[in-house]
Amino acid sequence: MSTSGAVDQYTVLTGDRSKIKDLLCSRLTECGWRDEVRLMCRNILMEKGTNNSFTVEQLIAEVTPKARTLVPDAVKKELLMKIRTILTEIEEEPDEPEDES
Amino acid sequence: MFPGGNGNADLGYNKHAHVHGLGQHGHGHNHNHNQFLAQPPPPPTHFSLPSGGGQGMVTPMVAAGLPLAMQGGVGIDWAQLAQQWIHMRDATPVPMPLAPPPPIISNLREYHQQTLAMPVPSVVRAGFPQLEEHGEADMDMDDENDRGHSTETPPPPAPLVTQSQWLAGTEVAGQIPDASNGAAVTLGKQPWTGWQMQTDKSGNSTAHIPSLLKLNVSNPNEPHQQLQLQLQAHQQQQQQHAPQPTHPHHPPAHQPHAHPHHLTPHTHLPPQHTQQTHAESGSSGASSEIDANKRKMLPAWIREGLEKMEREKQRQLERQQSSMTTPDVEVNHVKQVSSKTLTTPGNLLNIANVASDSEDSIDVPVEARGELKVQQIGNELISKDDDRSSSSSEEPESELHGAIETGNRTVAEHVRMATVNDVNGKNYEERLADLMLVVRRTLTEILLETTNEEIAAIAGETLKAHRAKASSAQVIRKSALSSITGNLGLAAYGDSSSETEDDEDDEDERQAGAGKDAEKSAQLSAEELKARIRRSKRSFEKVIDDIEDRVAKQELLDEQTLLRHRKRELERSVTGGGEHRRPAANPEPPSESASQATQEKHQQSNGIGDAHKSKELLSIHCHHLGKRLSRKERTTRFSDNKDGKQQSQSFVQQVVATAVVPPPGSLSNSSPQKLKPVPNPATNLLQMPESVATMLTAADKALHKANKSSHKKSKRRHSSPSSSSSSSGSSSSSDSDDSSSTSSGSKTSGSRSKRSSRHGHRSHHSSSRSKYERRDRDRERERARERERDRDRSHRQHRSSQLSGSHHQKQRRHRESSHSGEDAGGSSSYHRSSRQSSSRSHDHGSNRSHDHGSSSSGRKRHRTRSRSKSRSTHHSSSKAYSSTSASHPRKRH
Repeated sequence: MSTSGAVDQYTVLTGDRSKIKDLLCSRLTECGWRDEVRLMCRNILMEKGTNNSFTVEQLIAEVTPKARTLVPDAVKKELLMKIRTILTEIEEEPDEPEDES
Repeated sequence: MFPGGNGNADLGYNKHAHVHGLGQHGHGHNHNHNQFLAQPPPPPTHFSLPSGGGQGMVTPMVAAGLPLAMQGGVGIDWAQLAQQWIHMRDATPVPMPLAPPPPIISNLREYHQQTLAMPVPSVVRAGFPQLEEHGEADMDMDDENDRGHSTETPPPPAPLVTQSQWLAGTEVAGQIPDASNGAAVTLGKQPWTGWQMQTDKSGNSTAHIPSLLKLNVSNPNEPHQQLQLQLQAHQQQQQQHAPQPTHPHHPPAHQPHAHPHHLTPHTHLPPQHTQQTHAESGSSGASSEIDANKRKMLPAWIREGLEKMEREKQRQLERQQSSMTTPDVEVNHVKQVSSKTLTTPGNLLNIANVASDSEDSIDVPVEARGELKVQQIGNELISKDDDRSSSSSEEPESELHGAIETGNRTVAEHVRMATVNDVNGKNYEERLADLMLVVRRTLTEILLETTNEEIAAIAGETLKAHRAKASSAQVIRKSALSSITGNLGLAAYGDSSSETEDDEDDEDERQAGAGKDAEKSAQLSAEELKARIRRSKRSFEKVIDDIEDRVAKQELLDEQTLLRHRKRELERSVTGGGEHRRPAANPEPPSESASQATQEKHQQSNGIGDAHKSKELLSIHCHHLGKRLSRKERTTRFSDNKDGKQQSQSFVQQVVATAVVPPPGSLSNSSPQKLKPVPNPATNLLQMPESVATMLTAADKALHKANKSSHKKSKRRHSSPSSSSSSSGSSSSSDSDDSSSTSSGSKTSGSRSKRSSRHGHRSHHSSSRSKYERRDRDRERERARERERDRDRSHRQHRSSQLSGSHHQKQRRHRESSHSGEDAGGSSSYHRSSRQSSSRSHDHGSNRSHDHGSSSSGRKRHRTRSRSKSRSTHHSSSKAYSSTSASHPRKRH
């Protein structure tokens, strides 16, 4: 049951994961996270100067830890709720025949 | 065992052969030495013997011939013996003397005994007639002597050569008796016998050719073989030392025997060399003839010997075949050896060495064969051990596989059982916890993926934009430089300096403008971003609120679902049946009703924060208590469920009691706005029935006091000289009026006294009010009272004129009651107000009488309020003070 349940969860999540990602992207744009990240990148580039040696990977490495902290908690809660609802629906489906039996 | 036995026999035979060879060597040496020294003695003895007899000489020659033939070479002897046997059998029919030879071969002692018993003189006699018959022997002897000297001169310096010479000597000795025997036995058929003998010898030479090859090849190349040869020399020396005692034992017999042997081979050597080719072909034919025709007729011991010879030949052939596998070099060596053997007798020595080497090689294969067998046995053992080890390894491997399979099966079973137990045994909470783990994991994964993607995209875009700006800046600079350079070029071709100055100014302005534009764009972009961020945050606040609301709702739903699942689990755990379920269902409604009641009360009591909080706390407490009771009731028995019900009922009572507590506060707060004195005392009385007795006792006391005071007042009125004209009524009417007024006045005065007491409390509490406000209020009240008094007076005059019955009385009572109330109020106001106010004499008199009544009634009412003895004592003291204060103004008046 656990293995089949896991497979079902995985299949369902794969189908819904894209939706959740889209929701997350939209929320990040709404809350201004993208603009904050862009501003952060500009500041870093201004500090580092206009040298061509500075690469995208270096920029990403410096930006990611700060950017992740800027994600609002409300967005995380919302995503958590949706994921939970999906999984609870999955669990409720096999539980119903047990309840009937 | 047979092969091992054969090996031992071969070894013994070889040793015997070596010993025999050494003996021959000794005989040869002595023979040569004796020839030169003892030539005269042998002729007389030999000549005397043949004149003695013929038949007797034949039989010992035959007996002597056999051991001499036996003393010859190994293979040659057997073949010659076979031929001799055939010829003798053809010549002589007697088979009896042939039986003894087999045991001689097997046992050395018997061989020695027979050799000792051999008649040496007979051999000498046989040899001597041959010499007499052949008169040309003297010339042959001279040539042979010369050849012997030539051969003797080179060998001495090298020990190997000496060995070869001795071996050659042994072969020569072997050949001599063969020839002599053949001549003696077959006097008429000498050429045939000689030819056969030659064929045998040639066959031997051909058989020994590969060994020569080996010898020639081995000597120069391998030092080990040289060492082996040295060892053999030492062994031969030891053997030479051993037969020395034999020589002195038989010196006279060996001397004549050696001389004829030495002569006979010289006569036979030339025909051998001349007819080698014919001998080779003849040997093959002879062997075939023997095998085909007369092998069956031969005795057993001879057959065995022939078989052994054949076996040895086969071995040699096999060796030749193995040697032939090598390239042409060996073939060339074979040819060289054969040519040498044909040319010189020294090569015969080599042949002898080869024979010995061949024997040694024959021995080695036997040992090697044994070793090979041992190795094979060892290999078999090893193979068996390997098989056993492999089988043992396979067995434990199979066992391991079996164990692993069983382990896997057990593990699978355990996993299945675990999964089943997990699915069955897990509670909703545990499942929820597992689910939350999965949820969090997926959430983190999604966040990481999306944030990484977004960050990468944004970083790339910003970097590109930044580089584009940098490149555009460079382009601008380049354009500026190009413009400057262009101007410089134009300046070179320029006409006036004024134009150049104007262009420079324009360029500066342009550069400044470009810089400003760049700065503006940079600033605007940053500012715009910040502005966007602010706007988005503000707008997102609403979204956050919505999300939080959703989260809260979801949490509530989750709690409800948890409760439901818990109930289900409890119901499942409790397997008692419907009885347990019914009491479990029953306590839910009272808790719900209690919660609803609390909610209604909460809704009713609006506007008060503290009350709201307290009620919320109460509702929470009630909810938790309800849950606890419900759980306890479910877990306990039927009898305990009854207790639970009682607890629930008591809980309801507690809720009601707690609900009752807030109304007094609310009522006390709302009392200044609303005045509802009538229902409150009823409720108080109903709630407190015990206090009725105390009130009744107080009332009685008050009545007694009132009666006393009334008597005092009547006395005072009669004693006073200034009576008013308004009191024109009769005494009875006045008395009745007074009594009625007193009763009604007491009631109204009581109520007003309460009001006054309350007012007093408020005035005491609200001391902050201004005195002027109080004075104004008092004045207004006095005016109102005066107006009412005037109206009452007019009504009294009208009523007094009528003098009607009950209606009149009722009206009077009502009026008097109202009048008395006004009077009481006036007295209180009088006492409160200042003495500056003036009043009429009539009003003053009526006021006095009413004042006294109101004060007494107030005292009574005030006493009735006391609920307990301590309170009554306190109030009595206060009343006494008030009575004393009331009496003072009368005195003043």
